[in-house]
Amino acid sequence: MSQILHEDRNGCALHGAVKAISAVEGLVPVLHASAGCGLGARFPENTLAGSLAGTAGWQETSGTNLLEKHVVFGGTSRLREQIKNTVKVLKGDLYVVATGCVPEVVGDDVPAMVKEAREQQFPVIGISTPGFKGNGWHGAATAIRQVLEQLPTLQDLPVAKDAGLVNLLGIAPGLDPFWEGDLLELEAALAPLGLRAQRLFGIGQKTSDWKNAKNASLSVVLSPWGLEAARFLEQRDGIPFLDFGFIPVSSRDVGLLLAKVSEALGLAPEAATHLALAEDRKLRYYLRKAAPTWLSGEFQRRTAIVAGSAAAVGLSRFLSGTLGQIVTTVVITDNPPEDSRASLVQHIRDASEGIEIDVSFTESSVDVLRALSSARPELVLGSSLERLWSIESGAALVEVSAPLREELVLDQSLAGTRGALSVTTSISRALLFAGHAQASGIRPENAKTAEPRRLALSIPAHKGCESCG
Amino acid sequence: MAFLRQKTAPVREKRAGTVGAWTGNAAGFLKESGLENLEQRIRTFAQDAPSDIDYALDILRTIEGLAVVVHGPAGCAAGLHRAWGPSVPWAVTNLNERDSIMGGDAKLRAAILEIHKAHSPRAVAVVSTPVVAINNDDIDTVAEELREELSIAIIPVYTDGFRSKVGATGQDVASHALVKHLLPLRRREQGTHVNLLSVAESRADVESLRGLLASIGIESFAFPRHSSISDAHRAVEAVLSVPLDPDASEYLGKSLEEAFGIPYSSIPSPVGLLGTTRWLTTLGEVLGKVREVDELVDRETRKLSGLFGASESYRGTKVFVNLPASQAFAFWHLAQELGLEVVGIKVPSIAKSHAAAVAEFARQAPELPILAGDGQAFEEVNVLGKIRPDLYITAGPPPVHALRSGIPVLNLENVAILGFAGLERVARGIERVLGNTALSRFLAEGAEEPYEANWLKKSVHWYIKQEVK
Repeated sequence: MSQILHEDRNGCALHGAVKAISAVEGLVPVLHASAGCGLGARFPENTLAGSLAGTAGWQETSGTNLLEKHVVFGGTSRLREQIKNTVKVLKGDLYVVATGCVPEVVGDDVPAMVKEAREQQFPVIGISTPGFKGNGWHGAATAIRQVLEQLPTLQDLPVAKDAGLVNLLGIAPGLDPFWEGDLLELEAALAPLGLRAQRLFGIGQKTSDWKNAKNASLSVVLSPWGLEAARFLEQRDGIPFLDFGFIPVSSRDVGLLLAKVSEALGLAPEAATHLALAEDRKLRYYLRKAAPTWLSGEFQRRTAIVAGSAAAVGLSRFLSGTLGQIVTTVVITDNPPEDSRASLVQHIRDASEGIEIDVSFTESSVDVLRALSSARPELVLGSSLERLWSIESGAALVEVSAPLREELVLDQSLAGTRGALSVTTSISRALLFAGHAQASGIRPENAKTAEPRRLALSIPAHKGCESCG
Repeated sequence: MAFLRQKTAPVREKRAGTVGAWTGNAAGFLKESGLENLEQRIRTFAQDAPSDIDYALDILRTIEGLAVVVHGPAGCAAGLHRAWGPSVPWAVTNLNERDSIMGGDAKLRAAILEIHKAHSPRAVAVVSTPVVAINNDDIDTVAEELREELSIAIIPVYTDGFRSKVGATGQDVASHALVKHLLPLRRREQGTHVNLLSVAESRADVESLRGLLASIGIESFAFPRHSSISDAHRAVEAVLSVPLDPDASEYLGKSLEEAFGIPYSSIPSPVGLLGTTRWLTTLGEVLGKVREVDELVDRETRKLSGLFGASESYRGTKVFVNLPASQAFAFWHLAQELGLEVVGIKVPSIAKSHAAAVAEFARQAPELPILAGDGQAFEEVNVLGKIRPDLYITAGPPPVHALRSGIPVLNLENVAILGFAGLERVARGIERVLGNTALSRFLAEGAEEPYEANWLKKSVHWYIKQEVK
């Protein structure tokens, strides 16, 4: 039995798929679903995480908006009509029909409709993404694999292997609010090695880049959610993959990534080493610049991280391993596959500086709050769903995971030296803002496993917007 | 109780002859609505739009003391992540593939028990979703059992995502459920207060009108939006129910009238000087406060007279208005009061009942374009390109498509626009937005439109067809 979710933060498979497709220029999602299924994809992300790269806005998703008669008699003819008209209304290079729960339960023959459109020379593919198959992260992972799988059925690019081309996989647009900045940062980090990163998502990434993915010489996997696509490309196109497992926050982990990529591609190690040292120097320079501030207050805090796998691991390693925060708690909220969990925990422990870190996995906010209540952190890097708890317990909160409410993320990153520095300034700001909280030791005083706090029974209005609704 | 004996509310199409797809002009609308009812129409190309679930959740999320359990796959609950405003505790049963076949009654039961344990709500609403509706999961039995076990109201809300072409049916479905399962069976006391039926309004709007009524000695309480479970009994003790938006709350008003004998007075929305005066005057007549209303109107009109002089800076501005029908048509008069010219009206849905409101301006502006559709930005972009307004006014999801095409946008979503004070707020908003239009101009420069040029040249009703039964 799948878990009952209190204040779910991940949405369903269709949401993840729509976000991923919408983040590529020229890809146009066509929802075959009941009304509202695509809007739902955009609510948690909301206007504060920015609009995705797709040219059409969040209320402009083509959709069949299935009605009762389609539930009873099937919705294939409605889909036929919608595909035929979508290509006339919305510009695009590739139209991706994504199914919601209703047509999957009813048993609509989507492949037949897609085939019909293809016979009319329209660039259309169909992917299966019913919400009941998994959460948004799962949906993004399966959508990416399915699109890659079906691209060769369209007018394709010739096979022309490119030794300097690297696919970046495992970052889920929208679900991870820093997806675009992270991809850009890693692209920039790989460039000095003479490598060109195929980000697949975000500004300037088009259908042609997706078609070109088969020509890469390596796929770098940055979260468990990239493995499905990486394994597929390995099997079909013989592209090896490097399972890095998390987003490298800080110079040290970028250095690690560069070393591993160099090794995987058989490059001489010196260049990566040299670059890593330069990044280290840069981070050290700026952290020294931060030192007077850092030392004039109590910035070293007992810290909890609440985020998806890739960001949670990356942040934990930077905060523990470089910044010297007392990270005691990591809650991983994207429900990664069971077989990936041990290595996520290991990556966290590898950089824990000997502090025992409690790592748990849950999608449900009640469990997240239970973990926070028992750990009593003074600083939380999490989502806006942890805001109320933080206010009530006096902890500082830095929003790093969806849903965001007080950060507008455009091209900012968590990845790289740039990401590490921006996290450092965010933490400083949050702690200065919550300045009244006194720092304490590694173990909370009088630590006892508190009962999960009863959530406020009154309705929390958004801060500064008491009257909205 | 003919209304409430049914399992749920009838769809808007049947009850009110509402149509969710209509385009034409004011004169054309009057001609057609002079017949029996508007012909039902459908779109052969559509964009994703809110479903009845979204509309129902938008009411439920504001009721203090209530908890919401969405019974369905995780994504169906995403509407509860609205960017702004309050949110009650909620959970989703997170149905997976197996549940979609075998049923999820056990999970529903567990979810209600869990949320009861975590938050001690005074009532729990169970919101049904497409998968549950198709499988015919037995929500009633679970609700009945737990009502006894927990001694709180368990309120089944029978939304399904596909029964109605008009998402606002969800307002009636939620109203039906609340009247049937939350309110006491009969009134114990007769109060002196008025029910402000608020189904779609912001807290700011509700509070502003309550204040206005209080100033002439009329006590009022909002229901169901921004109400609380502990005060719900007041709804059945009122002397009168008045709507803030008669389209949204007619079903609720008539249900209360039928079940408890509380008269329902249908009055157009209190928008602008004329609208607010009318609203108050009708109320004053019913409640014997004619003199107090007259004095209040005199006072407020004098206060606002300065405003009309100050509006020179935007006199003659061409405005496109996208608001719920009752507000949008009333806005015509508000625009006149402020010296604006309405050049196009967009409403989520339209019905024969709007003929009177449209008739008030149809003689002056017979050619005024009217679009009816929830979302469906593609139709707006088509019309906006042809009429090129100076300003786009709405109160809802951010109309990025308008800003992107160079039209400044005033979004009143979080601004109280009802009542006398609303007029002033709208005036200030217009002044501010037109004071600097640099952003919309910049965004429009060289921007690529996601719509095919061919579509933008077509007539806007191209994809709307009469429904073949």
